[in-house]
Amino acid sequence: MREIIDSHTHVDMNEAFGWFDPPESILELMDEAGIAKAVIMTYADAPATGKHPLEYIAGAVKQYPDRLIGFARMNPFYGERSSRLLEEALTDLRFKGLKIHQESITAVPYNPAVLELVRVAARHRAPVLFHTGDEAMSLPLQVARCARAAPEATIIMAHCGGYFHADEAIAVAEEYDNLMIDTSAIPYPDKLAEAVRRLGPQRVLFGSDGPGCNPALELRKLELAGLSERDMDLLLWENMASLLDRVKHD
Amino acid sequence: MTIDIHTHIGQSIYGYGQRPHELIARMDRLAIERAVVCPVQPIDYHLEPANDEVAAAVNEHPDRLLGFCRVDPRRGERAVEELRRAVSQLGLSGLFLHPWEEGYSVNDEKVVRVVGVAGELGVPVMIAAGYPWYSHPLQVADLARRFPRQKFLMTHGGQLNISGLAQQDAMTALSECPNILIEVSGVYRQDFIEGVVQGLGGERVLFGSNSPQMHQEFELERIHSVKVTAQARERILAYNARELLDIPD
Repeated sequence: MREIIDSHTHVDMNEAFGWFDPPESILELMDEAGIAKAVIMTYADAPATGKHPLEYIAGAVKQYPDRLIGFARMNPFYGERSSRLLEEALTDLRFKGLKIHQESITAVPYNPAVLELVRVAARHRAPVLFHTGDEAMSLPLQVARCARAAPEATIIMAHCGGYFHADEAIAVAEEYDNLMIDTSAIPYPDKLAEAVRRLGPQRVLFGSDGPGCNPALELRKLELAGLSERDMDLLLWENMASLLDRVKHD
Repeated sequence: MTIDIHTHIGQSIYGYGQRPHELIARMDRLAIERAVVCPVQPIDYHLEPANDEVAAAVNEHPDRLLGFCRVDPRRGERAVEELRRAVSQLGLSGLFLHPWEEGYSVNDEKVVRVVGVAGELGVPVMIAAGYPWYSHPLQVADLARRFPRQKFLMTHGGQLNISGLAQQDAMTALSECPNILIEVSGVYRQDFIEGVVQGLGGERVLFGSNSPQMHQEFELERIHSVKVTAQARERILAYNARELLDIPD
């Protein structure tokens, strides 16, 4: 059986959204779908009030070290504290990447404070996952400006631009080599096939946005996209594995 | 039995399209017995011939297809006349509105006028919903609350929003307006569908694919992947559509 890494999932107890997803929620769905490992992140941005998002993720990873990989979802507007927390996450807490949800922090991807965190991540060779979901601050053209300002960073556009901006996401990824896309939640298998064709299979990552989105269904979407076996190996495992390998903790 | 409550035929000015025989061939492959077909916005903008095309397809495949007409409420009385013609003369079974593609707010007074006539004719109203500015779920609810006995079907669960930012509004619209049903093509998060079924009942959700703009096979698999009871799944796949449109067993 093919080994699979899911590059985009969530673990959090989020009252604001009413999304309560302990690690076991995603693990159960991973088992159903035959997924070995998943990148997990919270719905809240550290440093948030209440239960600390980074500690929560670090705890889940510690509990399931063979299955879960942590990305730090951050708010950049706490000055030095934000950068310091990210440094700590990418070293002591053994996180492997940064997640920015622009609607959640109310900032465009090329905001100087966001860029600062992106550069911290890049110094650790850690990938940065941006939400790209059609809203005012989640547009591919905005992510492209971040990619241009921080060419040393590897930047992933989640959801391949969303419902309305898939063409734009593919176009900006064609322009900037440090951009990648993930396949999560977008309902267009044919558009993902087009992305693989235009960008090359090395720049597309399988992600489910589980447990809210069903990982088995998200995998089925790639089958319906009609990708080759070699492409599937890259999307489902090799691309993400090599990104994660570059982040060294010891 | 499986019924796809939302498909389109014709060549859309937005670049997507399919012919009736292509739709039927795919339905055969996927074991979808029946589908509701709606017009696209045609390349020449004229919805009346597109309604004729839908009626012709239904007449050619009466055991497989049902048709909804499409009108542009901005045309005022012309839209009302076309709705009457499509239902009374062409024999179509419902009204389809696409506020985003045509460019109007679904709670506009001109839409109220058209929906009132759909009520007189006794046909359901399907709204391409979840599009920002024009058919947000609370805008659909604002329309639906004025016609408590009229059935409305919101496409995409009313929340075509991949950030999940419209989910609460969609749930609010569904909770406040029992006359709103949803089809769930392209919907963000399976657990939204599960939440509607658990919280409001399996009778509120229908399978629709929005083919060919969306992927009919993938959307059917979405329904099979949702964690609901077998009974709820049967309702979603066929029973609710049969009830809405009086389709025999």
